[in-house]
Amino acid sequence: MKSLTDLEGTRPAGARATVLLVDDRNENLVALQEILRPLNLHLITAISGDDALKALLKNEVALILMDVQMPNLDGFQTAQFIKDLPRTRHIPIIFLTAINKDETHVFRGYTAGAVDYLFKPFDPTILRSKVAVFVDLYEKSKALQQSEERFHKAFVNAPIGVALVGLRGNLMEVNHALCRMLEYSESELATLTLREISHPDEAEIDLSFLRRRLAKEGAVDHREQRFLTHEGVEVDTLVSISYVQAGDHPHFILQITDITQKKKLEEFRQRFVANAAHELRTPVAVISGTAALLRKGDLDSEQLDRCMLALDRQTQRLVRLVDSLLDLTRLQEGRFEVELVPVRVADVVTSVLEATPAPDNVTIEMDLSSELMALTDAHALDQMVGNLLVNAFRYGGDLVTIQGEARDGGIIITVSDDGEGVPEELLPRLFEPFARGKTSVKVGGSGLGLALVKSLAEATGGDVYYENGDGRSTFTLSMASAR
Amino acid sequence: MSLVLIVEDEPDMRFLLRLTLERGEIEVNEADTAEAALDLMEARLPDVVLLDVNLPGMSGFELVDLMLSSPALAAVPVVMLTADARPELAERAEEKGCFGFLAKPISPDALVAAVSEAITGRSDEGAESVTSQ
Repeated sequence: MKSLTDLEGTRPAGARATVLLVDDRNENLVALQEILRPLNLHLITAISGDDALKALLKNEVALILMDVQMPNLDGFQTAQFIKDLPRTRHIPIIFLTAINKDETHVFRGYTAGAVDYLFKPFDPTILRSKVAVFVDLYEKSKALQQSEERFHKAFVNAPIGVALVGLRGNLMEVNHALCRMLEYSESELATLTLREISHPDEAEIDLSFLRRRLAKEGAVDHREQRFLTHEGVEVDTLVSISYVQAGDHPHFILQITDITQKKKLEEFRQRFVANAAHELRTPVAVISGTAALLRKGDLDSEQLDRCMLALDRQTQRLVRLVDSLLDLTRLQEGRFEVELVPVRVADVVTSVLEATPAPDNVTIEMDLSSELMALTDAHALDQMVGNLLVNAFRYGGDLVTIQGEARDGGIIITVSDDGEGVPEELLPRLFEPFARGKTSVKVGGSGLGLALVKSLAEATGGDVYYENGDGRSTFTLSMASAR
Repeated sequence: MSLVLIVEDEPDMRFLLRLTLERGEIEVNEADTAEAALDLMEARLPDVVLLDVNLPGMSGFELVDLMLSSPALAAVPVVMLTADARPELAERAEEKGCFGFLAKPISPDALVAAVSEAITGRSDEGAESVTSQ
C-alpha cells in the first residue's frame, strides 16, 4: 500500500493530465487509484484539506476528486479555499460523499460545470467515465489555450513589424519588432493612427479603397512607405497589407519590413559605380590620347620617352584601381579570405617603406619595438599600413610619424602627419569609397585607400579611426596581439 | 601665336594636352591649380583657358565664376575639360557661358579643333569691337 499523501504520485509512461485525489482514509485513496488506473492519468494524493492545498501549489491539476467528510478542514471548506484562489479557481471538483440530502443544496451553490458529486458507494465505471469527461474537457481547452498562446507569441515576437489596424487607421495591436523599429512603446502606438506615424510627405494609405480591393481572400497589397520614429527619424519600409473580415472587428494586417539599410546600400552602390567609372576614365583618357599622338609618328625622342612614362604610369594606376575595386568588392561581400597569424609589426612597416619610399621633402620618424607581434593577416596589414602612409605622404606636411605599442591587451599602430588634417565636412564620409575633401590632390589617388583600410581592419577583427589635435592628424589602427 | 592656358592637376594629362596643342602651332602655358592659373593670367592674359573641372582646392567652375566677376578676365573664352560625363556638368558649363565642354577621353584633333575655334571666336569678337569703335 502506498504512502498517504503523495505529491509526486504515480506517473505512467505517456500519462495524460494530473488528477488530485483527496481522502482522509488511505484505503479509499488506494481504491480510487485502482479504479482510475486504466485512464492512464498522473494521480497525486492528499489525506487532508491542508495537504490538498499544498498539492495544488506544486502541481497543475486538471481535476480534483475529494471526500467531503474529513477532520479539520472538510471537503467544502477546502473547496472554498480552492475557489478563492485565482490560480486554482477554474479546477473542477468532484465531491465523493455518502448520501446526505442536506448536502445536495450545497453542491448546487457552486458554479455549474465546475463541480459534480458522486454518492458512495460508487460504481467504478461511472466514476471512470465522469473523470474521463472532465479530463477530456481539460485537455481540449488546454490545447486551445496553447495554440492561442503560440499564435500570440508568433505575433508579438515576429522578427518583422506587424500591426493590426482598424478601419479608421487606428493601431489596434502592434508587436515588439514594430515598437523597436519606430522607437515607440506599445501603449504609445496604441493611441496613434497610421497617418500619425507616417512621414508627412507620404501619400495617405487609402483604407476604404484598400478594404474593397483586399476583400477577396488572399489578396495582398505591397507598397513602400516611409514612417517616422518617435524621434522623427525617417524609416523606409516595405509594407504588405491584407484585410481580415472578422465578425464585428474587421481589420487590416500590416507586415512592415525595415528597408532603410537596404536603400542606403543601393544608393551607395549606385554612387560607387558612378565614381568608379569616373576614376577609370582619367587614366583611360591619358592612355588613349597618348596612343593617338604616337600614331601620328613624328615625335622626337624626348617626347617619345615622356609618352612612354605617361603610358606606364597610367596603366599602373589603372591596374591598382581595378585591384582595389576588386578587393573592396570582395571585402564588402565577405568573400575576402583572411588568415590570422602572428606578424612582426616592425617587419611589415619596414617592407612597406621600401616599396613606398617617402617623397624627398618628407621625413619619417619611427617608434616601433621589434617585440610587437600582432595577430592579423600579413597581406592586410601590409595594405593598411601602405595606404595610411601614402595618405600621409600625399596630404600630410613634411614630418610623418609611425608608432606602435601594446595597449589594453591589443596592439595599436598610429600614422600621423603635420598636414592640414581632414576637413570637417569630410569626416562623416572619411572611410567611404571615393570620399574626397576639397583640398585633395588627385595625383595617383584612387579615392579607395581609406575605404580599403577600414574594410581590411574590420575583416581582420580590428578597427581604424582618425583624430586631429595639436597640429597633427593621426590614423590609429587597432588589432589583436599575438602574445 | 595664340596662347592657351592649360589648368589641369594630373601631370600626364597636362603633358598630353601641351604636346597636342603645341603640334597644332599653339603656344601653351600651364598651371596645376586654379590659384596658380590666376597668377599666370595676371602675368600674361591667355587667348583661351583650357580648364579641368575637378581641381584640388578651387574647382574649375569656381575659377570661371571668379573670371566672370573680373573685368580683365571675363572675356577670355573658357573650354571646360572633364572625365565626368554627366550631362548636368555640360549644362552648367553652358549656363556659365563657357565656350566649349569636352569630356575625356578626347581625340587630339578634336582638342585642337575646339581650342582653335575658341581662339577664332575671340579674334572675331575683337575684330567686331575694333570696327565698332
